[in-house]
Amino acid sequence: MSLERKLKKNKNIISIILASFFSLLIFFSYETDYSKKAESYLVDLVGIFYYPQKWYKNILSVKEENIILSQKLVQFSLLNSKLENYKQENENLREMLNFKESYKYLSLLPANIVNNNFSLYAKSSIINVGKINQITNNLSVIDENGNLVGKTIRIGEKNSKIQLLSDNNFSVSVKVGKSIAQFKPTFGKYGILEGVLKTALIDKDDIIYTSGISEIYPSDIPIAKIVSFTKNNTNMFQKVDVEILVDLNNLYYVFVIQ
Amino acid sequence: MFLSFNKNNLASILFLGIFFILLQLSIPKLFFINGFEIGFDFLLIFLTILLFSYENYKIILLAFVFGLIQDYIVSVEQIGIISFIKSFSIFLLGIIKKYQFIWSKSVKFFVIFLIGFFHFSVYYFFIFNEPYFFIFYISIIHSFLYFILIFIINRFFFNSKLI
Repeated sequence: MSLERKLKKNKNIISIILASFFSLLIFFSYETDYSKKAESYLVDLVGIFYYPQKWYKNILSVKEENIILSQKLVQFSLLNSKLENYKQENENLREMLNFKESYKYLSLLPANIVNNNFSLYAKSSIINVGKINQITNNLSVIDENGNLVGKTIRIGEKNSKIQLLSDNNFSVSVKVGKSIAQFKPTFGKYGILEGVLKTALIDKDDIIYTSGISEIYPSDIPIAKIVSFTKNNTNMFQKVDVEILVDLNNLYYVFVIQ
Repeated sequence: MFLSFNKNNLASILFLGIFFILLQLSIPKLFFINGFEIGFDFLLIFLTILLFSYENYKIILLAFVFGLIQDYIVSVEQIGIISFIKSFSIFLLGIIKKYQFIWSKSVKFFVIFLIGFFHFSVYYFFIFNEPYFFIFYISIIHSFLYFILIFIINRFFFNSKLI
């Protein structure tokens, strides 16, 4: 049998071998420049395709959102005046105790979520800010309530891809009581805290905040709340299950911390 | 609808491919379970329909391309997984065509359900840390939705002649 006939006879097998080979090749060459460029290009392309729908949605929802935001503005104004007093009090006390400044003011860049529907499971999203907005890799992203959403991982000209905190490769150092632990997502809106000592005093519904140890995430950004915790005699750490605070299924606006 | 275009017309397939990508981008999910979105995988459904109308190897390569686009848009550090799973699932679905006149309709649909389950469970196995029961549970729901839609399309658009 000639080679040509053999190829024709086994073309299905050959095509699946080729597809598998190139899939593996791309999988193992994820960090190459070609791969990064292709990803950035596609991220921009999705932004272009999705623009009419985004525009249409914005028009429909803008009135309702305006009412909600007006209400929130009043609430936050009241809260802000209260916090201003606390801030003043705190600064006076820090001065008395000779503390150094630990908290820098954050610059927030607002962005729209272009799309997070393309996958069956939300582990990344595309936002409509990119290189032209001075966005770089590894910037923290928060929602309108200040909860952590994720970080930027690939930057296009006008759009960027963010890794959501529900992605299984996501991990962030968090504060649990007085100790430090690691947050890792498990499935859906849930995650676990690794390395929580048995001595750590925690309670159900406690909010978990970023520790600030990492160079990416500033400290004190709320991430999740504790839903359950168990202590086991055979393990020196507690098993802590948490629920992610940000509603990833209804995410429309985010802020990139620059 | 799908059989109406010329079988050699690549432009029609690409046009429909872009349409299904946009459909996947735009259509909201059906419902939520534990904050987990449940919806249709339109690209897999589209590729399954194409498989029964065109030669297998063409659709395997097309599945690879669509999977890769999906990979680059949604995946994080796991680029290549969806393209592999999609093309391999289409390759497995090609077995049904081989036994088109031997297997009964119910067996063929059962195999479609099983391949759908394989597709979703392998995908979720890669993207979830735990627990395995949840992967099984979600994959069953997704493969059931996939099966239902394929059944409906076959019944009403192709008059039960596609599969």
